[in-house]
Amino acid sequence: MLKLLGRGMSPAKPGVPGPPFSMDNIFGLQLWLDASDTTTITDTAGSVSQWDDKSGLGNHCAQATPAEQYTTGSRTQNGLNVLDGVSGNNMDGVNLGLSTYTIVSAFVRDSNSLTNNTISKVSGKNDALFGSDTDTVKDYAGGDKITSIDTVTIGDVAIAVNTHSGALATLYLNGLIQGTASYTMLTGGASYQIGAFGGFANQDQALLEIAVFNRVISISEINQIGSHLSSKWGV
Amino acid sequence: MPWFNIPQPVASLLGKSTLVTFGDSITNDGFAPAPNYTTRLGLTLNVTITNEGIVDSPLQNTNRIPEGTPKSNNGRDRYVADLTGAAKKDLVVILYGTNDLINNDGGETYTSVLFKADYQEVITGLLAAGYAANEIILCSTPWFENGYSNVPGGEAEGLLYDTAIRDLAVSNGTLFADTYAALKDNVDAYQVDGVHPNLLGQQLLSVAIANAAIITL
Repeated sequence: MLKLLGRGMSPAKPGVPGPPFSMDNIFGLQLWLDASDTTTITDTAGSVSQWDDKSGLGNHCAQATPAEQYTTGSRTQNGLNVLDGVSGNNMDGVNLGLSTYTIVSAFVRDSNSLTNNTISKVSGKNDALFGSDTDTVKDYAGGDKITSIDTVTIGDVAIAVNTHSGALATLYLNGLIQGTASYTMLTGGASYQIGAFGGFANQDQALLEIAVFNRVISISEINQIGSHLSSKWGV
Repeated sequence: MPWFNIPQPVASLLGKSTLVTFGDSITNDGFAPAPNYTTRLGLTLNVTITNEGIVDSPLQNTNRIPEGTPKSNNGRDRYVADLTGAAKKDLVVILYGTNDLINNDGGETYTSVLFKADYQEVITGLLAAGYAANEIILCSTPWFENGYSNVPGGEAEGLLYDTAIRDLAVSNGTLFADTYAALKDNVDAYQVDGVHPNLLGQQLLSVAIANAAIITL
């Protein structure tokens, strides 16, 4: 309780710079995966078996099968470590049980082939943020519910934000609204999965940072996160 | 692509259903790479857009030399038909001035003073037609990436127009969007002609307009 009340609630003192931004300054954080923090990554010779959640809730992601593991320590973005993905790479997370939420995903695509999913529910049938063989980002739930009007540039950092308040979904890309849609989600409670899913195996991108909140965070908070990620990852 | 701060529109722009954009080729769908700023405004404000941008349209109906007549499709002469009566929408965005500046050459008679007078007539007409002042967004004339090479008087002349638009926003209590500042010095935001914004320019325009606010001098 004390920690919650202390998060960013104190008024700033004149002339005293505030604390640096941290994802857990934003209330409701349920999952925070940060590839730049190598202390959260468990690997064997660069193959990642676990990516620890920094939210403090222990919602870690793991992959025991070597052929499906991301690679760490081989690639950087703005001087920071990233998880490099190739076909079939994925990690399993936990069921956060959310029907109202915000997902933030920072990534660098290496191609637009096949799915290039960043995060979804298991089997990819809900809450998916992915490309589907295009240069767009899509909010997918058994079909494309929102397709971005802007495109993702190969090799550039992209920051996608997806909010769901019950049936109402909104998608943002790099701080620009991409669309809204109202639909009934397919499943209420499945585990999250990072990367490739189901029969869509391709994963040709680097994952930088992913966060999930248990509410629709405000536009001010989205901008705060976006500005931070943009600066951190060298957009 | 940089991070654009998602706009946080003022209350008078929220909860509306329709919006009309009124201007020249910068607004017209044919000259603006899709999705242009009008489409983006529709998404941001959750409104249906009517685009009344016309290529080569100035705002003022000043007589030209040697024609002795105003340019066709000027904003002053068409706003009644395009923005009022059956054509009235909940919100209106006015983005004008570029062709008034460009046409001020070769002995033309266009000036910022006449521009301001005609613009005031448009605003007065919109208020009489039922628009509230805070449902009208006046946009400053966008910066010219080509160095104002086709504008006698250069950027200084452009700033006279922008000052006129700011004055009109203040005196009428309308919203003001600084689309000049949003694009100024951003050489990556233009098409090759140095006048029409490209995709990045359209993105920047949409953010600036959605952030329109009441201003004071």
